[in-house]
Amino acid sequence: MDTIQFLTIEGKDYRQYSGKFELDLKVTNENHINVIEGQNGAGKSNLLNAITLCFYDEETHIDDSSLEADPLVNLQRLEELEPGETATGHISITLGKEQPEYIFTRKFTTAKQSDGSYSGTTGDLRLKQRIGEDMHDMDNPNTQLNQILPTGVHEYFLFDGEQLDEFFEEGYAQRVKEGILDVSHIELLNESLRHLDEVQSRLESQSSKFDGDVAEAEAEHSTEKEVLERLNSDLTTAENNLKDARDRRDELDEDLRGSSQEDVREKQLERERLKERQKDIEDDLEEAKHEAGSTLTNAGVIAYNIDALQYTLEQLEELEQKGELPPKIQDWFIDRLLERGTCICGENLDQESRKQKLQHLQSEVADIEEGNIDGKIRIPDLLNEVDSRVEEVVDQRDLVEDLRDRRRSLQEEIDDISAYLQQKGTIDAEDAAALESQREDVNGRIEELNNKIGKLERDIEQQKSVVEEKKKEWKKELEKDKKHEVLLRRVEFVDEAKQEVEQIRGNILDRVRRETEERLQEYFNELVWKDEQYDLHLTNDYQVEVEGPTSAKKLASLSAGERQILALAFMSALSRISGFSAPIVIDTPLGRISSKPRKRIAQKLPSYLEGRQITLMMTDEEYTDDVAALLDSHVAKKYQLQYYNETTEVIQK
Amino acid sequence: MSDTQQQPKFEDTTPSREIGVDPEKHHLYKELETDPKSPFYEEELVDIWLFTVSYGREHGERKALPGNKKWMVRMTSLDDDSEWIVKSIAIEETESTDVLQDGKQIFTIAQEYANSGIELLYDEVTNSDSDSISELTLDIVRSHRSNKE
Repeated sequence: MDTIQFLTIEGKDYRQYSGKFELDLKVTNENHINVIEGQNGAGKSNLLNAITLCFYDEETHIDDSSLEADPLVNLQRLEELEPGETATGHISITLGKEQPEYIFTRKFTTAKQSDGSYSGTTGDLRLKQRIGEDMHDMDNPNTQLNQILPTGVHEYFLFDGEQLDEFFEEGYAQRVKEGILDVSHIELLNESLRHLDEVQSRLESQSSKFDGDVAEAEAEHSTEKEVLERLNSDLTTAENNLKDARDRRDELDEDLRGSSQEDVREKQLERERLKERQKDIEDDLEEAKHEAGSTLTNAGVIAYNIDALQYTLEQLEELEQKGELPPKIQDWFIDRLLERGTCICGENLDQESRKQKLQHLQSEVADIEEGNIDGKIRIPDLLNEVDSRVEEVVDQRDLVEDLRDRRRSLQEEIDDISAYLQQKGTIDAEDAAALESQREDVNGRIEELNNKIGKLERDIEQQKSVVEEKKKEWKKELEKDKKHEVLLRRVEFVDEAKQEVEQIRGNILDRVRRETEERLQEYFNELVWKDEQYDLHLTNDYQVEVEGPTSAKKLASLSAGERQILALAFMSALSRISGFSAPIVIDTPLGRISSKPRKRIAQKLPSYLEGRQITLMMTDEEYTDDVAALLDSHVAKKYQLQYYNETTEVIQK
Repeated sequence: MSDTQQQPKFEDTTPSREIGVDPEKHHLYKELETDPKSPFYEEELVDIWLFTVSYGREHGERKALPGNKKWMVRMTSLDDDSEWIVKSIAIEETESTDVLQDGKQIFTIAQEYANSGIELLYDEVTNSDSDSISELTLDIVRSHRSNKE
């Protein structure tokens, strides 16, 4: 294998893995895929957790909150302990291309308390590294790990396929942006900008001690900067609150979906379906409004000015008929004068300077004539277009109104469900009513926060201009007195340095965004089960647009499976762009894909991310005979996780 | 008739390199451009400006700009069709094609219409009780009909 891979993962007494366990995962360039098969709950996700626990001292793939409270050491092992005793386990991961280069290990300990409860600790990351023929203990395990797979990007290499479906849900643009920031390696530039900001503030504050207008201008600038900082901080708080409120709404939806009463469950599912449709209509409405805005801008400028355009056209035609093109001197007249060499007044025109003046006049006349001809062509075109443009405005307005009506009627249906669930309390379902009432409150809060965020974003943009203006005024005051020259030069130097760094940062981010777009398209088309080719666009504001051969497809209208493929393609794009050629581990990669397309993806998986070790952890529903038949010729190692009596056994197949 | 509407003597001038607006009203253009609720959301500033010229001419009057103009967009961002709309407004206003040689005058007329148009348009978009897309559509249709008659 030409790239680094997991050679082995071994451990002792980790969660449901009782005693020692080991997986040999070494692959070759030809057979670069490992398959670990196991039913839900058999311990697949905990293998992924074992890797992140060892490397980063965290288990990032816990979906059952009660599990978090469980001790790390295997429960059977802990049952043997007396209160006050401790048990220790470990995870060791060996990495290398062909032979072991690095062995990372982390120990964990659980203590049994006198009341029978447990408390645990994890040890430091340790590393043995090959130097020459031997493996040596190293002092800098985290530095080495950062060169292989830093914590900031590990989620693009080690991830749960099923959770990917949620990646492109509401607010995904922020997640896409964060992903791109993670792999852009711009931390050094961000650090430089923070440093330059500090220097800038220090330099600016020096002038607060100066006499007169300079200090006053500095104070004003500083006040406006504080306002901007406060707005930014308010925005961060509002965004966090919005995230909390959305999480709370998801929890409430989950509770309603899991209600013991059939009608509540049905109503909740119906509401979710309506919400999906509403989301599609919202998207269509946004697009239609945007289109309506553009068409009315284009049509309005002609429709409002038809009289002026018609008048101008008449004037130009009249001039043409009279042979009087403005301005009043025509070029043929100048031509003849130049040819003759004598003016009508008898003056000699051979003199060079006079000749030049006439030639200059001639070229101007030509320009204006050309302009008038241009006007005579363009104005009729504009007048001919006006009817169709106005019709287009009306059509577009009708479409907007139609979509608004559809949104309104969907909202009425959603409100009816809400009213139904709220009145359940008076009959026989106190809980459903209470949940629904909380849900209404949370919804109100979400709307309020969305409005607040929108306003804050606009205020921030305006405040930035105010700060900029105040800074200009302050610099103007500094310029007035020569004794401030040195300070002014320093300030300008810092300003220029900041601009340069921001420019570099912007260029890098733009390049990474474009590269992500290319990779996203490549991987999506490689993995998706459709024959047609899709065009994917990643816009400047990190929105993803999917365009099929017939028309643009909304993200919301992609199936769960397509969305999972899109997220998988995005993760793969980022892992490729990050520059780290670390191995990839995907838990339940085909979890949301229905059986027919599953085969197609399995067919494509081997060629996807060629040259990398890929370990797929699949349920037996994913790893069907069909899928196995397509994958097996590329598989290096295959394991079965068997869960019995609260213990997982690893069996090599 | 205001002072600004008196017949000027035309000079051979080229317009400024940028289109100027009243600095106090610059944020109104920016809001129309950046507020997602505005029908002009994410439209080009130059197109919004030309719309305000037209809207001001339809519903308002020329309003002189203060001396300290705020330069908003480059003149080169106006395409040829838009330039002919601006020129036609000046020709109709001065009742003379000679104004074509006076680039400054052509754009002064447009900028003065925009100066009143932006206030009216902003008011229509933000303070109107009803939906501004529908209102503006009706207004355009009405103007189109009456201009054709």
